[in-house]
Amino acid sequence: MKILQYLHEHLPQILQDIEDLVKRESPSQDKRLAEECARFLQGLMLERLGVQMTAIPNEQVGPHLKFLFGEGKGRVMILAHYDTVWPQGTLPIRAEKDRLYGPGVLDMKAGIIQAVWSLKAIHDLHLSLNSEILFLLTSDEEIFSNTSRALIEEEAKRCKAVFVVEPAAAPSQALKIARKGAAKYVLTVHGISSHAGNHPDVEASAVHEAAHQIIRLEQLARPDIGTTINVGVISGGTLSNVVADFARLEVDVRFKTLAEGERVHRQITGLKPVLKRTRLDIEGQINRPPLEPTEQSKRLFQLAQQIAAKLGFQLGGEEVGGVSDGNFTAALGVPTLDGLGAVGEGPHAHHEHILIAEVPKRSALLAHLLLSV
Amino acid sequence: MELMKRELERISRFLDEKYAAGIRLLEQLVNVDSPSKDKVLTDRAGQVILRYFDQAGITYRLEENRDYGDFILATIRKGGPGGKILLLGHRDTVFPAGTASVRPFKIEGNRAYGPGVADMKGGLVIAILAAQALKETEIEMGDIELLITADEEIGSPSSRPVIERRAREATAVFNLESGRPDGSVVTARRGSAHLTMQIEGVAAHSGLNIEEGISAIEELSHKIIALHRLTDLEQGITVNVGWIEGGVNTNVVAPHATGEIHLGFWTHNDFNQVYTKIKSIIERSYLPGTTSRLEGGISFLPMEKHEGVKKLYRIVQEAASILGIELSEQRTKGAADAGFPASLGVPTICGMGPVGGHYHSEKEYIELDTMIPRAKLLACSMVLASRRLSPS
Repeated sequence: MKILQYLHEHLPQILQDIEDLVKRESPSQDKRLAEECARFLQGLMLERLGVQMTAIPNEQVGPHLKFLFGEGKGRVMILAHYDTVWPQGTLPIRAEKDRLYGPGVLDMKAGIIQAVWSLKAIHDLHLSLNSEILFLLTSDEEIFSNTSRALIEEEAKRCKAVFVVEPAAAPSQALKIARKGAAKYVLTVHGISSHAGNHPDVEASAVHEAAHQIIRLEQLARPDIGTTINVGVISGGTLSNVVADFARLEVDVRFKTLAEGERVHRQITGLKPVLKRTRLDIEGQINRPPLEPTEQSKRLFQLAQQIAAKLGFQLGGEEVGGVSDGNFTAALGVPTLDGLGAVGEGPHAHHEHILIAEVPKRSALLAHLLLSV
Repeated sequence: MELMKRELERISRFLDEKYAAGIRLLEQLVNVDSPSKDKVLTDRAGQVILRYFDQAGITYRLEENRDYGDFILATIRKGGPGGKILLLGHRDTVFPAGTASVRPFKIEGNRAYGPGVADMKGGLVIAILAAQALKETEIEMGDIELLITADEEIGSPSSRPVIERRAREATAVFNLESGRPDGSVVTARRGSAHLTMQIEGVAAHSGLNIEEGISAIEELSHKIIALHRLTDLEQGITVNVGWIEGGVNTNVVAPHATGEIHLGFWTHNDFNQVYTKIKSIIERSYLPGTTSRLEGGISFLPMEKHEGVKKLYRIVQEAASILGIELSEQRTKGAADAGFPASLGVPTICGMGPVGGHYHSEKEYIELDTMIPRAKLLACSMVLASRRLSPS
């Protein structure tokens, strides 16, 4: 296959591009570093594809970047983010024979480079697209996409498909064809303090009430249908001999369907205190709707599987618990396929790496998908 | 042997003339802040006492304390016959450095105010005056010892062994915490314990592999509810989980959680029973796969009103009636050092200091017209106890 062969031949340069992008560290909260990384990306797109990216600045984080490529009826989006979770200098870049380690290499800078080279292959091999491609690179995905969500949704509405180049699932290397939605809540418990040495009134203890609420919250889960609830952080009280008048809980909720997300939202925001003399304040919301498979997204997936077979490998599809920007586009009804980025392991962990051998295959897969829609 | 009329007159006369000196000493003491954790300051407050001893010709020695204020041990040799009397007190307070410059010792009407005036610098002054009175008058009795510590307000972490060592050699122990607002002395006190529970679970990402996680926070919740159920207000057993912390991030199943527990109880038996129940709650895994451990133990032993305490109270009542003072007794929920000697079986009584109230607050006070009467009560009680009670 011409595309695969082309990518194999250019692998050293592809790997160099990946390393160069990873070196331009871009933790979400560091606006200055993100801007430097954005400048690098603009130079790279110009050199590899001859395109001038549009930068959309904002006050909090690095600019969001986009460009259009090719011509055709209708539009298809490649969706990516260039921010990572890694503060500068915490993770070294290291190459081994079959792997490349580094901050954000898997999540998701190798995916970005793979996608750039998918387009470059199409261009250099004079292949014709059916649709126009919109490449959108955001800068705050790792911190809930607060400044990019509206932009992503606005652009996605004008597209007939969205390909998200987040990493493939690990260790199965499958595409991500469904994702859970996520919600976060903070519960603050107010009690009445008293001196435990004299007359401790544990029936007004915020710590005691917090314990009751945690048990309640766990009962709202339905793990059989994928609705999970995790009270991840707790704090409360001051000294052991003072009855606590304050406690705080952080809650993470995941769900496969929007209906479940809304059910849990109603129940959590409707929680009442168990101990009559305590008070609850509840804040929070659904952050990302689930990515639910549709007829159209299933057809896209089957197409991807057929392409993979022709390229000489087996491609699976998996439902995963983590979220991505694909959750937003799928919720709008735009057929979305995720996990089309690099293959590797350890996103957000110290052993984060990609498998070099998979790079040409996955880049070719995306190229063929773009040519087929 | 009885307290003879002329002995009583000598003691009374001596103390009647000591009021001004006593107030001066109290003012000096109150105006040196002495928070338990500040060794420099508690030793500075100790210096005020030592200077008074020097003037009064009372011999003393210091036992070095690495972490908190040094122990002050003063001895007045009387030569007997009679058993040794131990006067016990602490010079640390709950107030931070700088408190006395904002609200120094002051007198308004019959009350003196200031940080630690009742808890318990007023009591220290009374102990010193009473000991001085017995030193300066010809009274036959056993030796007198004063032990002044500096970490009581934080649970006497370094003092307990020293108090117990001195108490074992004493016939009777008088603890100089303040008399209750209604004038009562204290014949029983609660004990307290501070425990910590550490809970280990298994971390996992709440989105990617939550089913592999085991939440230490959920385990903690089950334990909190079970622990609070142990409270039995009728028995005076209280269990409070006052402080908790756990977890790493919202989207991570908590691998670790911790909680601090306070226990209050009137008797050693109650402590043992509740502690056993607490231990089994901690060691039980409500969520399979968690492991937990319990740390800590008793900080203040309870002062139980046993035979020795009853005997000593009867002696104090007798002294009060000789002096024409009305006396009552009380049991107090707050714990204190008196529990340590009492638990060794040594006749002990607490609350022998001046009458006061609002401990640990800005409104803390003592009633000035109880200073000298309580000093007389203490001195007479010490003589009777030394003569009547055999050493334990």
